[in-house]
Amino acid sequence: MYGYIRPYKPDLRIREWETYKGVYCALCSTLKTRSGFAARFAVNYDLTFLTMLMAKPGESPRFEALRCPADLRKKPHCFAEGAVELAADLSVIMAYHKLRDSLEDDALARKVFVAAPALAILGSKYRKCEAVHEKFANTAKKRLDELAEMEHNRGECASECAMKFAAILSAMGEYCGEPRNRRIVCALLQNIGQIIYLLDAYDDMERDVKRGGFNPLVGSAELPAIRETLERAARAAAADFELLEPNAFRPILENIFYLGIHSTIDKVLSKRMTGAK
Amino acid sequence: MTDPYAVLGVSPNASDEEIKRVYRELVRKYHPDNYGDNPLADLAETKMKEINAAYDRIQNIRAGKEPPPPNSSDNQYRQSNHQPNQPRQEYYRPPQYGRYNSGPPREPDYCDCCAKLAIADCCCECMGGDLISCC
Repeated sequence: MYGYIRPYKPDLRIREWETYKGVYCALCSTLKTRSGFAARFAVNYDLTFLTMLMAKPGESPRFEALRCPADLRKKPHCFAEGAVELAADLSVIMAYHKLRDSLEDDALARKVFVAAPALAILGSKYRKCEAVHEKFANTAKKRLDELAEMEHNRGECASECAMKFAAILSAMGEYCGEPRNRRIVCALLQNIGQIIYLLDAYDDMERDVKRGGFNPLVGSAELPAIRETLERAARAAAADFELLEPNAFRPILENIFYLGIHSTIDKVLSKRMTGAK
Repeated sequence: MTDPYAVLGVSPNASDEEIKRVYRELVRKYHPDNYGDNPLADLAETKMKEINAAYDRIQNIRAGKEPPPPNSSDNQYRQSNHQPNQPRQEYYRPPQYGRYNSGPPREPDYCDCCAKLAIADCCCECMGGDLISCC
């Protein structure tokens, strides 16, 4: 997906950083197990965050050393049972929709050489995940179609578009077993979804202005107060997080909510994002 | 009621000052003002009531007005309380790295690959071939 929800590495213990990498690696490995080798490219930091959020309180994650195909070394993979399988399926669904958007919006070269072949490969895997997670897949499709229509009309304000996108992430919270946690995770992901959408819009502003594509923030009255909006959503997400029962990934999640998100907001708003998203 | 020490996230042996400090931090965190227009304000209010009840119970236990809770040993999973001069609380046991049960996985090192290549080269040379010509 977008990669805006990440920890602030300098403030993580080495053990926590290794665990975080382990969760990312476990998501990649589970994608391969459940959806084939090509699905590994759907691995992303946002669903890594979701894996840690949805891990059951009271359960320790399972560590296993597995070989990484990217650099051929054995690395510790950190499996949060139940949560990582869910995140893998949701990654495929979200990646499929992102590729569909690329096919509509991106430059010709990217459409032909990246989006089209990737969609052809991922199509059957998406249908398999859609069959398992029918309700979420339908919600995602419906909200993305509504969002595409809103963007096509070009009349909606940024916060309306952000809320529409955030509803997709909020739907991921429905997978929480316990009703109290489900409420909290849905509200938390609603705030996180708004942050992701607005940061992505801000990041793409220059490109969209150059290509004449729609960007909800360009010319918007909300642009001068964007930092305040993002910080407010981040504080609300942190307040929701404090109500959750702690699980094994609590220190990493605290780092994300109190330091990581704010650090990412600073980087994007000062356009100093380095490396891939 | 559950263990009041676990609710506040403190050890039963914590001093009165430490308990008071932790209580104030939690009150600041879950205060209704932080959840003004949040849809989860009712959950925060419930949490505040739990914290207040736990603090009152601890006060009563220490004043001898109530018996201590039966299993007030340290809870493995606690609230997050950043105590600057104390190590952070543990949320999980040190991981078992699959077959590396004696500790964290051995750091991958390329000497391992070189050693295997060297052995393969030796075996090749014994059989009359040469895997790596420069060795």
